[in-house]
Amino acid sequence: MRERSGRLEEIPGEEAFPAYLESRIASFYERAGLVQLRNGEKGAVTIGGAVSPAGGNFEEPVTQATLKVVGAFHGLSRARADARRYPSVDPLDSWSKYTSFIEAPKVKKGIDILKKSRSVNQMMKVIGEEGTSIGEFIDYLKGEFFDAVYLQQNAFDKVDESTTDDRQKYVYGLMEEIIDKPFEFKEKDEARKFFQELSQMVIGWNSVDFKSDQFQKEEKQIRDKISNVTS
Amino acid sequence: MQKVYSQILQIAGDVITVEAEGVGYAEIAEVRTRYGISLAQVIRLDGRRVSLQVFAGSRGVSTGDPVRFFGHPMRVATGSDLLGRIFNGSGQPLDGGPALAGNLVETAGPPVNPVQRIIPRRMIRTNIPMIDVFNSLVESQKLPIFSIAGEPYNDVLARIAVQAQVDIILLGGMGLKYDDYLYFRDALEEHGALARAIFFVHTAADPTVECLLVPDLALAVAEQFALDGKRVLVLLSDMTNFCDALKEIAITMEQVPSNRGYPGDLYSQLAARYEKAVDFEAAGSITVLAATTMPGDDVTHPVPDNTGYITDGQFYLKNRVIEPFGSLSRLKQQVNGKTRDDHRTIMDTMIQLFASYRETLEKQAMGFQMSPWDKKLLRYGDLFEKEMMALTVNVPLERALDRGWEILAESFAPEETGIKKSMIEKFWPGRPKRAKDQAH
Repeated sequence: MRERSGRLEEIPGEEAFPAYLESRIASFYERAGLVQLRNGEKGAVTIGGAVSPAGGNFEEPVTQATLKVVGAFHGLSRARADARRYPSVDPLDSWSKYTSFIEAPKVKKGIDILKKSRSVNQMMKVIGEEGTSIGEFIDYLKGEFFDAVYLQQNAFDKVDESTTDDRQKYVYGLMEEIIDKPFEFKEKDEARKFFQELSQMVIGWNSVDFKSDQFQKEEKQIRDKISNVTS
Repeated sequence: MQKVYSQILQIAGDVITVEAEGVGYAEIAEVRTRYGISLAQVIRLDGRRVSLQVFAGSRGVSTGDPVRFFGHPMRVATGSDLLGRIFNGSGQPLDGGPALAGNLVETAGPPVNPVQRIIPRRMIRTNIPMIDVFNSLVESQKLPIFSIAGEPYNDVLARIAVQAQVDIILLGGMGLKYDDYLYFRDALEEHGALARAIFFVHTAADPTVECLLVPDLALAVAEQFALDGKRVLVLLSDMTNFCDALKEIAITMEQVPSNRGYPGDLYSQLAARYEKAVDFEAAGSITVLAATTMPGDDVTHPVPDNTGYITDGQFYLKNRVIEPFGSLSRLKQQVNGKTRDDHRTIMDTMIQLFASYRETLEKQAMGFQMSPWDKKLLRYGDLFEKEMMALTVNVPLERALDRGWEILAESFAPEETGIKKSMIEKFWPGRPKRAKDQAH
């Protein structure tokens, strides 16, 4: 649109896009919808649009015009991609106006630990690891753990590349238990070591077929590791 | 019959305007001035008014000079006669050799029909670990090197040209400094690669217009070799100069400027060149590597921005190393599953840990106490920078992967890396030796 608008010698708008950019984008996304047909059946059009803003800057006109009219937003984050945390959808920047198959209060728990973890991480950048209490540090580790084993997937792994909703719900149960559990460690390094080991176990578990014997065996090992630490 | 027009109505920049009939868009003409003969190309038709850009520049053109239209667009000689030769931006020899007119093909034709293409599947080995291990280069890929002036992007291009296993190397130089051009020539000659190379060189002192022709000439020649079953590597340096030449012409032509004065069709102009990269079903391939300097190191500048939308990823060359962050080869997954079982594990794990190392560096810079984990990361980051990232490292992929495991083992315990147990068991080097070291 920008290229053609220039050719037509129209007066350029923001960043040389034509002035009608927003209304065009809106009229495109508004074609998505669920309709009741005259015979009583339902039909639906779902639109997934990829927008790659210049330099990853979400303030630019196309991204902003798109965000105004869509029902969900999966924001790919440069920082996550750099750290090879894939899929690099930022869990806190992204949002959806629709309901998940995991109940809202449970989802909120996950989001809360991620927020807490991020803020502790920010804080540590200012006051250092030694300036945080062990409780806050464990929250930080919990968030990192939840991110590493639940939000991240290995696209090169046959099992982990695609996780069914049943499995997502099931594993979320365990995540919730870990998030809720008041772990106690004397030293930060001891806590870090525990979560590193736990992460490795759950990452291995992620590439085992759901509900297989191996799945149950590894789940038991994971649960044992968790209960051993708090005893 | 070719008509000669001898009344030039306007001369603005390197663009002249004559009144003529029966002339086609992008057609080539010849302008005879008192200093010699120059080619020119039609870039705008407005009724009978024909605007041409004069390749040698309009300096010396007077309003009475004759303009003769050839009736065809720009053509270039192709074939093996060109090997080892050096030409300028309008296809004239610079090396003192004879001008060539065999197997003429039109330049700037449409890119190859998708039906005749195949999905890229062959890796190009460069012996640079940051490319081979972390962002493998794939035959028929189009990839820019984003850099800033002063970085050794031409050295990287020359090194890839010399080491890559390809049949033909085409160098398109745009706004090259004279010494860069000589550097390319000497580097290729030294490694005996000049005999399979062809240069189209526009130096910074040459007329702007010729800069625009360089990629088209190089790619047209490359295409003929690829059709002939050859694997061709096209190096373009520097595409930002090409875009600036486009800007210069567009403004001279009084086009409405788009972002930062660049013409609105910058994207299409770049795409028309990059999309020439191809892997033919039953013939050769064209791989395009292009240096793109970012003015002010700003990736949102229109040139790198538009480039990024077209190409299959990018390499960031910063502080004399290929940055692991931001650098990306979108085709790497087509090839890195077939190299060695541990390729993808090393690729992801080492970068994940390197990202943590960068965070630790920030902490260190703020003067915080370093935990034992931080110290491990610092040790790891140092090894990674020295033995993987440094451009002086020149090892085959397999050796680089082995070295990757060694660096991990020198820095961490296996479970700290987050690598799956099955991979650790298979690849983790020298565990007993490590235990012994710790006992000391």
